[in-house]
This record gives sequence, C-alpha cells and structure tokens, in this order.
Amino acid sequence: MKNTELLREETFAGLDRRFKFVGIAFAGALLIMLPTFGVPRLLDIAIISLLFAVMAAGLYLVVGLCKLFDLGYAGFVCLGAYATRILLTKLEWGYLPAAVCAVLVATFAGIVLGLPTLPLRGDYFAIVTFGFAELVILLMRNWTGLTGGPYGLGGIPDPVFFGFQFQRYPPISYYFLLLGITVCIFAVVWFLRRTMLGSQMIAVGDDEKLCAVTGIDIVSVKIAAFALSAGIGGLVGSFWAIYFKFISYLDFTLNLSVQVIAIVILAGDRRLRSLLLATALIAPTSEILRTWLRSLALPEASRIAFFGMILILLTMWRARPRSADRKSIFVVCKDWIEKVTRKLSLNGFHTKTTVSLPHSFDTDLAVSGTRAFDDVEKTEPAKPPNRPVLAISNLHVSFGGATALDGIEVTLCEGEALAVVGPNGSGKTSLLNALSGLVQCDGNVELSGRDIIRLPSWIRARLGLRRTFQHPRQFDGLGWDGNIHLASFSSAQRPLGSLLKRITATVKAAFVPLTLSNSQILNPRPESPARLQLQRAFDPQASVVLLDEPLAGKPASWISDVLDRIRTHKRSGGSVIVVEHNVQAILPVIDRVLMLDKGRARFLGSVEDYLSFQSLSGDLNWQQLKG
Amino acid sequence: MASVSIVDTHLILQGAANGLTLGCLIGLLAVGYSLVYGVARLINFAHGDVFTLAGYYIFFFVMTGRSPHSVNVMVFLVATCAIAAFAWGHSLRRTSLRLVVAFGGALLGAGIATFLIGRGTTPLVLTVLAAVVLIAVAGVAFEYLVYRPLEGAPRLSYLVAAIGLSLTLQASMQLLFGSERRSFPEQLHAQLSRLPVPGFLVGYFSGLDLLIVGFTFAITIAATWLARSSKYGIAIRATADDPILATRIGIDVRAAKVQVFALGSALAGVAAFFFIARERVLEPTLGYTQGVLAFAAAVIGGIGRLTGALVGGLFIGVVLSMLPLIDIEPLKSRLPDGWSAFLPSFNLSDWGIGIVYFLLALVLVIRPRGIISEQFWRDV
Repeated sequence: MKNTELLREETFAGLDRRFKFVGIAFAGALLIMLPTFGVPRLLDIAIISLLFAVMAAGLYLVVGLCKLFDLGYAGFVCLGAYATRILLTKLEWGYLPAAVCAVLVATFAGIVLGLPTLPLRGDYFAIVTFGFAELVILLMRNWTGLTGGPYGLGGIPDPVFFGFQFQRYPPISYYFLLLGITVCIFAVVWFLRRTMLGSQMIAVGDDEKLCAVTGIDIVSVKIAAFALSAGIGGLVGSFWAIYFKFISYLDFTLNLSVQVIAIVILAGDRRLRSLLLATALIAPTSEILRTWLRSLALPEASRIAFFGMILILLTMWRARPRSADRKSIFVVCKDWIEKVTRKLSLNGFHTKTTVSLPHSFDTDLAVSGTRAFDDVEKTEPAKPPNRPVLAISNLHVSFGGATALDGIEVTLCEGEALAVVGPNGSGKTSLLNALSGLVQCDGNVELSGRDIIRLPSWIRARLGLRRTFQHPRQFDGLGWDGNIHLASFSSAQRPLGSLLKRITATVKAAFVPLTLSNSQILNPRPESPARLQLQRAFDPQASVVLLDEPLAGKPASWISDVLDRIRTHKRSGGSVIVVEHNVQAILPVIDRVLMLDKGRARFLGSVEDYLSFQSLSGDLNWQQLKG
Repeated sequence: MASVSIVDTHLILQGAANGLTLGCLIGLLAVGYSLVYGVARLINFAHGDVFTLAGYYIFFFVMTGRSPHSVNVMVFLVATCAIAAFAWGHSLRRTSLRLVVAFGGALLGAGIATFLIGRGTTPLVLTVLAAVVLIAVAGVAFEYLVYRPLEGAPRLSYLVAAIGLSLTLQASMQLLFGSERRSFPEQLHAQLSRLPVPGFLVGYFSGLDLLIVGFTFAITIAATWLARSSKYGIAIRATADDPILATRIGIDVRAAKVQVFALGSALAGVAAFFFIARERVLEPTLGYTQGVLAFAAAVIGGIGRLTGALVGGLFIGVVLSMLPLIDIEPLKSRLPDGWSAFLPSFNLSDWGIGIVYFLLALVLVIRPRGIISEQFWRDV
C-alpha cells in the first residue's frame, strides 16, 4: 500500500519534472524568438508584461510568501524611476550605477517604512502602505525643483551598456535587457524559496504564533522580505524610466499597485509558475484592452473599472475563512492597571496553595489509557532533584477582567516531568502560553538561571523552550520535512545578540538550503500533524518541552509513543511539562503533579502524594491502578 | 521654530470656524465609516465613492434640464433599486418571487428617477431626502453584491474587495456621469447661504455652515443614541461583539449588517449634500480624498466610536484649514540663495493630505491593536 503510493508519487514527480522542463524550454524559446515575429506592438506588450512579471515577483515576496498585504508597491517603483532619471540626466551617471542606486534608494525606503509598520495587523498595514505610496506621490508633486512636479520628467537618454548603445525603436535591446532582468529576479526568488530565509517567510505567512514558538525572528524575516521586494520595485522603476522616457507620478497611483496585487492574488498559491501564468493572463490583457479601448475612443477609466471588477471577483474566488484573534488596547490598559493594583495591594497578601478536597476534578475523562498501564512497573524511581532548569514564581496571567493564573510557584529540575492537571478553565493552557511567551504575564520565570519573562517567544524557543499545541499547528506551505528542518534550524540560531548579529543571521539564513539539516533527518515521516509537532518539539536541543494535551482524542496506540518520547527526553537530561486530562495514562513517566483550580495551585507534590490525595477524595484508587 | 509665526487673531478665528465646518463634513463621513467598521469589521474603502455617488444623485436631481448623463443616472438608480429589492427578498424561498420583487424595485426606482431627474422644481428638502434614501438603497445593493459573498472570509479580502469596489465605482462614475468638474447651481447655494445667522457669528459662519454644524452634531448624537440605547442599536452591537452568539439568541445578523450599511450610506448622502452645497464642486475623484480624510478621522477618533469619529473629523478639519495660515516666509528667507529651488514646496497646504496620512500612520503604529478599544467605550 505504502509502496504503491510512494511509487505513484515518484512517477508523478517525474512526469511533473519533465513537463516543467518542456514548459520552461518552450517558453524560453518563445520569449527569445519573440522579436523575430514582426507583429507590430507585440514587443511593447511583451515588455510591459515582463515588467509586470518582475513587479509581481517582487510583491510575491511580501504578499505571497509573508501574506502581508502591501498596497504601496507603486511607491517603490516610483522612487526607483525618479532616482534613475535624476541620476542619469542631472548628474550624468551611467545607467548601471544609476540603477544600482535606484535599487538602494527603494530598499532603504522599504526598510524605513517596514521597521515601524510591519508589526501592524493586516488591514492596518495595508492602509499604512497605501498612505506611504500616496506620500511618495505627494513628494514628487511638491518637489518641483527636482522632479518637475506636475509636469513630470522627460528627456531620458538611451543608455549605453558596456559600449553598447540601446535603441528605442524597435525596442529589441530593451526587450532583451528586461528579459535578462526577469530571468535573474525569478531565479533569485526561486532560490530564495528553497533556503531557510524563504521558508521562514512562508512560515511567517502561515502561522505567526507557531513561528514564535519555533524560534523564528519574525520581525527580521518580514523586514528582509519587505526590503528585497522594495529593491525589486526600484529595479523595475529604473527600467521604467529608460524605457518610457517620460515619467510622471500619475503613472504610480493605486491603480498600478492594484494591477500587480491582482496578479499575485490570481496566482493564489506560492508556486512561481502560478505567478507567471497569472501575469501572462492579466498583463497582456490589460495592454490589449488599453489599445482596444483607445481605438473605441473610450476613456482610460473603463480599464480601471474593469480592473476593479476583476479584483472583486478574484477576492470572492480566493476568499477562505480564517480565524483572527485580537486584543484591544483598552483591554491591555485594563490588564496593566490590574497588574499594578495587584502588585501594590496583594503582593504580601497572597497565600500559598491550600490542600482541600477537589470536587471539580474530572476523572471521568481519564479512562481510555488502559494499555499504558502495562509499563507502570517500569516507572523510574524518583531521582534526587538535579539542577533546576525552570523556576516559576508568582506567575500571574489575566485576560481583561478574568484572572487565568494567580501566583503559580513551581521549580522544574533537569530530567523531571511535571503533569499539570485540573478541570477545564483552570488555567492549564494559560500556564503553557505564559511560559512560551504567547500571552502577557507577570511574575518571575527563569530558564537555566536566565530571567525570560521579558524575552519574546522566539528567543525563549532558541533558549531551549519548546512546546506543542492542543490543536496541532503546522506550516502548510512547507512539507513535513520542511517543517522539521526549519524548526530545528531556526531554534538553533543564536538566541540573543546585537542588531548587527540579527541582521547577519538573517542574511546567512538566505544561503542555507532548506534540506541541508543534520538533525532528525533519519526520522520516519510523521503521518499526522500531531506526530509532526511532537517530533518538532522533542528536538535534541530542547531543554524544556511543554506538551498541551498530547493524548486528547488520540487512540490508545498513540499513548505509548508519547510516553516513550517523554522518557527518552528525560533520560537525556531534559524536562517536560505535560498538560493532560487523562492523568492515569501519563502517570508512569511523571515525577510530580501540579493541580490547578481556577488559576490557583491546589496541589503540588509527588505522584504518590497526588494519588493518596486523590483517593482521599475517592476519585481514584491507587490499588486498582496498580492491579 | 521661532521664525514661524501665526498672523492675526481674526484670521485664526476665521480659519477655526472654517475648519469646524470642514471638520463636520469629514466627521459626518467618518461616522459612517466607523459605523460600518464597528459592525461589519471592514474598512469600507468605497465609502468615499458612495459619497460621490450621492453627490451626483443630488446634482442631477436639482439640475434643470436633462443630459445624456441623466439617463445613465437613471440606469444606475434602477439597477441599484432592483438589486437591493432582490437582496431584501432573500427570505422568499423562490427565486422567481425574488425576481418579481426585484422588478418591483426597479419600477419604483424608475418612477422616482423620472419624477426627480431634471425637474429642478421639486422642493430641495424632498430632493435631498430622496437622494439620501436612494443612496442607502445603493449601499444595500453594494453590500449584497460585493461583501455578502465574502461572508466568513478573512478581513483582508474585505479590504481588497472594497478597494476593487472603490476603483470600479470611481471609474464608472467617470464613464457614466462624465469626468468633468461640475458645479452646484449658484442660486441654490445663495439661497442656502442666506439662512439666518446670530449676530456674533456673522463673518465667521454662513447660514449654510451653521446648518452643517448643527445637523452634523444632531445626527451624530442621534446615531450614538441609536447605537447605544435603541433596540436596533443593541442588536447591532450584539452583532459586532459576537456574530455567532448573536445568531444563536435570535438576532438577524445579516439584517443588522444591512441596516448598518444603509445607515452609513445615508450619512454619506447627507454629507455629500452639505459638501456640494458648500464647496459647489463635484467630480468623480472627489470621494477618494474625502474618503481617506474620513477614514483617518475615524481612526484618530477611535474606530467604532461615533462621537470619536466626529471629534477626529473636527481635528483634521481644523488642522487642514489652519495650515495655510502658518507663515513660512521667514524660514524660507533664511535659506542660502537658490536653495529653495531644489527643495520641496514650502507651501504647507500642499502637504495637507500628506500630514493626515502621517498622523494616521502614527496613530496606527503607536496603538497597533486599534486606537480605541473594540470592547470598551464603543458605541457600535
């Protein structure tokens, strides 16, 4: 069964590859032969289509890979075009240095715009980038001394390239220059997608929460994508200037951005061939439409109306539901005020955990794990506590008005496994979220002697804190192996460092291929997302692994696998925190139990104590369990 | 910046008064923006173009005589009425019945259109009322055509669709209503400006300005009351908070959304009337700038807060009208000779909308999770 599937996959892969080569060869031959066809206007349409292809490739890095909606792409093209024109004619530079400079100007603008705005939520980011493009237009309009203002800039000479003089009519030399640029840009994007940096971009677009807990430096990755995209925009702008000979800010309005966005949305997935196909569908149509409308004496507006409708239809076609979570600034303020008041009034007042009879504990959920009891006798004897790895003290988490965790104190030692139990809503998952940095909390959390409470999630992950989610998450844009390679690469990057080190790490990631990873490469292919995230979490470099209900809704066969992983991890000196309803099933590998109720620790102690505590309340019979 | 000085108290007061009126125009549009954002959670980029469309409705209603463009307006009216009627009939199970309803809507639209377009004799109040109702109908039609199919999609696709709608509307207005700049009839403008003004305000406000300010405040207060205390408002707020729960307790979420779109578009209609009556200009791209200003006002005042939107509008209006009053000549004269030719324009009013964009970005960056809460202090 498995073999035939594999065989089929390989066959299709082979076929696919053959088709790909034939397709590329055919398209390449067509593109090279194009000037010899002698069809009037064909070359102009081809050049504009190629321009759109390059712009789409640039925007693809931001919109396609990182899923950031950039409405200001025309702004970068505009900057590049004006920079090229000014350097070419006012300073009389050659085309090559002018183009390089245009790229640099656009990249710089991209970084300056991206630094403050990239953390913004999707639609706000779109609005701010839109504002940026409008500001660029305003600058070009108002800077009459340099940009010609409303009159635009003309008189751009044909460039001389290494002694070769370009000719505008017919634009064969321009065509080949642009074809070269297009091939280079697509090659760069193609290679980038197969590196760690490109995969990180995909990961950022897929699931930012998961990125954070796998140690991906989200901000750096986004800025890299944005800067690269802006640089490509600048390159397009420089070609735009020498090809069209006349530039005006009116060419770089929202309409241009929208046309490029329409291409990227139409492409839909992250394959470059979809992008090329979408360009081939939209760009020539737009140009032919322009000519056709002109011959019908219809104004330009009808083309824009056409594009608007295309955009609406594309959105309807591509719309997919996805959940969004938000936390408003008022809730944040309120949380903060509550925190402060709590610190002021309740700091010394807080009483430690009290032992009382739990009535709400749900043992009825803990039934399915009978197979795991076979190896109860193999339970390791409680070792003397080793060096503490994770010290949690006075941990508070609250959402709006509701307190989720209230003064939790636990110390976790090397090679120790702690089970966190309690009814629904008792704060178990909040504890994991607080530890992995996904929710705001206060108190003290020390990982190997380092205070991590103020560190962002991704640094905590790089320091060795891994976790799984109750509902398994994965990066859909990467394969299973990509998921694992990316996680082990990202979490092994330097945890802390200066800005310069962060930049070099990001640049370095662009030169590491995705497949070249030494760890975990021999593991079998995980058959489910749950197994995938387990494999990701139990990385050799992980010191503390947080498991969120690893057994929930799983078959009995799954239990021994999880227990084996926990045991192996403990043997190699790592520690584990498991949140689980099915307490009996995981007891064999557990050293201590923390019981939460309504955000407070109700019980903390060894397994034996926990069980006697439980039998006191008549919920669970230790003898029955042993038998 | 000691060299930058402001000229004259009288001028400042005049600027402030002008800014107040301008701000009310922006604020009225911003209230609609805020309302729609609060419930449908979408940045209705096309709101500005709905505003322009309302302007064209009113313009063609008050204009005497017909032109080829009037026929296009009529077509537009009939189409939106038919679509809105079709949308309204969604509780009818059979499509044929809905088509009958749509046909009825089309007939009604055609009747109203023939009664109003090009007559020039209908009382102004009636004309404006009809335009406001018709633009609300158009708002419902756009919601049905563009946003309804996206139900359950991520927010961003709403924004993309809204941009698409904005471009489409803007371009089709250029095509159908003519791209030339039109001006509101002089004698109506004069008639409106002659409204009585209290003595101490003479010289600062015209009668029309007072009408605008009064109406804007009244409408905002009424809308706030409607959202806070009325039965509809509570249903709308419940929808905004949690659409799924709202459905479970028997609120018609779709109806709430449609009501909000209708109300927001109606406010845009009122704003459009005031705008063209005061500024006397109308062109297809008018709504683009006004829409951006209104969105910025809504964000600055806290999106989802109706009174906040008005305050944001007033703030932007005052800033924009104060800009030309700031004297930058002393600063310019300090520059070395010939430098000013190479620097961007020093005329601050050239940068007005840029400053607004900058403020908008600043507010969004400093308070990335939404300016004012989405749970507390919210009207919608």
